[in-house]
Amino acid sequence: MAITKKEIEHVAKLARLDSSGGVFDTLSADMQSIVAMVDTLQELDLSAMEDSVDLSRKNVFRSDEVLSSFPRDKILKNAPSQEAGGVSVPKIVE
Amino acid sequence: MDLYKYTASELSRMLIKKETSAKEIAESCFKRTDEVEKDVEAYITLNREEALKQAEKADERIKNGSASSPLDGIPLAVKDNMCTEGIKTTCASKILYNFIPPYDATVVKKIKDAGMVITGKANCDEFAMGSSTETSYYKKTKNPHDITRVPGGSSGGSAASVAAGEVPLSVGSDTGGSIRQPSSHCGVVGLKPTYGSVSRYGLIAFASSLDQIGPFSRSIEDAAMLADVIYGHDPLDSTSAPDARIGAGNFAKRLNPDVKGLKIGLPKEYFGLGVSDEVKSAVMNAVSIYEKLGAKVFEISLKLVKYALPVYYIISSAEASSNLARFDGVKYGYRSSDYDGLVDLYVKSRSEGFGKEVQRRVMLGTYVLSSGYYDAYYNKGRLAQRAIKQEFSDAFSDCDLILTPVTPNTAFRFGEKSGDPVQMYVEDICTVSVNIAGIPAIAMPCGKGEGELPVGVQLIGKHFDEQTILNAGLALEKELDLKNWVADVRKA
Repeated sequence: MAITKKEIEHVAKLARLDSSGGVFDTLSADMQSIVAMVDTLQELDLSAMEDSVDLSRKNVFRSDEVLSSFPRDKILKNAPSQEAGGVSVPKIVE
Repeated sequence: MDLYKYTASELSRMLIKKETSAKEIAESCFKRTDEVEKDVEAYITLNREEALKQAEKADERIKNGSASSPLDGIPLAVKDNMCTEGIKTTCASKILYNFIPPYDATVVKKIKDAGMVITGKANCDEFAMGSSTETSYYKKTKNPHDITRVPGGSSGGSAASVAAGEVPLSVGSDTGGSIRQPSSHCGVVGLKPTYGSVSRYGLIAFASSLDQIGPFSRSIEDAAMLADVIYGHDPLDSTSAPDARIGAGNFAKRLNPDVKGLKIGLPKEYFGLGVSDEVKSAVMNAVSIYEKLGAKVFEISLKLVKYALPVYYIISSAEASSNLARFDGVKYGYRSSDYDGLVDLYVKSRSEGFGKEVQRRVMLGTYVLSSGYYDAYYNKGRLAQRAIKQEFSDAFSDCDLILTPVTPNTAFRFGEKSGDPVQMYVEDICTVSVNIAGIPAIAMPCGKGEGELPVGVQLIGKHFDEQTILNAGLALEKELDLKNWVADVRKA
């Protein structure tokens, strides 16, 4: 199934990507051929298979212990912008 | 002979006998790197100073008779998508251009605990998305067997560094073939472990239900030795299997090249798929060697292989779109300098920071997960994943291992496939189903094609049965003259 320009813009918005950006000139065309490739899966008839969870699988839990965390300063070293012991971002509430 | 030309197991024996030192080995590897790196460009970051210090410490331990492991003092390169404390980890992306991890990945910690010497961070496709290492933001790694050709990908730097003799061992990650395909193109051994065998804590996630870290080497014994170091349960990775199942720490000492009576299945579908004559003939030569050694080889059928590629791209891209949501310009990495409000900061940082292939995959992943398409793609993909898994499991009731080509062709030229994403995706046709099924597989050299380019063979095993494929690999290695294949670094 073909993917429309409007759909691409919608998906880009969901993915927080700029669909007016340079790479999207060719990316829209690429999406057509990629979606056509993954669409070949539709030929496969899996109606006999039940969509169920495999109950033989067991969850692996570890005990709920408090362990030491990373020092704040060390983590903040990688932040593009920081202030008062936290990462800083543009104002979101007036 | 220069030290860089030896395999890790040979170097290990020489260290024990005190015939050489870890420092001399590291120096020889760096000298080789100085000679060839301008042509190969396998590394994003070199760790020379620290590596030489670590080598000196290894020499102290070996001198005192307190070596940490059989690989103490052996150099190794780490793919640049695994966190190394204090060493820049970029994932070959602009978005992590300045990221210095505050911790070590579990694999890196195990490597350090074993006394191994980390020489640097190897180039790869951006976020491990690609089959040629051409999507790296930083450089194009060349195939040491012909520098006009790609090394494969995504772990192209890990494979090329080992093939060029820059280092005897490296680690990479494999989501759909990213260890095995570059191994095949570069003429080295690459092992994709059973899902759950090697911790992914500190591996920058691409597709969490498929990603596995594994070794690159120039011999089967070396691969087994490095597997012994990196395998094992880790409470920090919730998908990590219990040690009793993984069988860590014992592969090298249990190596046994006896394949008499081994049942080997040849899935006929894998020899279609556009596999070239030169690849077919090298792979069939491996088959005849196994027959000569007393293995029972017979044809099997794995019909669902043609759906493995769409299933792989649906599941891996869906998971990638979710995993890569964390790169938003807030906590670490690249932040756009020009934005208007918080959402614009996210959008600009991501659009300027991610390359084209990453944006394609994030778009595909978001699309298949979006309302209205979820059932047709993602849910159907998951069902098909179970069907593929079942098909392998049925096949393994009749055979001990499955033998296939790794790639349809030998290494291709730069730019040959990068213009057409679907053509690039087809590179993974023989490897993706192994990740979908979660089973282990080895790629190893089995012949030479036109221009003396390496051809690989893939040995696929049952869940947690790495020993069988390692043993079979050893048997084949002994019959071929392709062990420890150090490339001349040339233009064909």
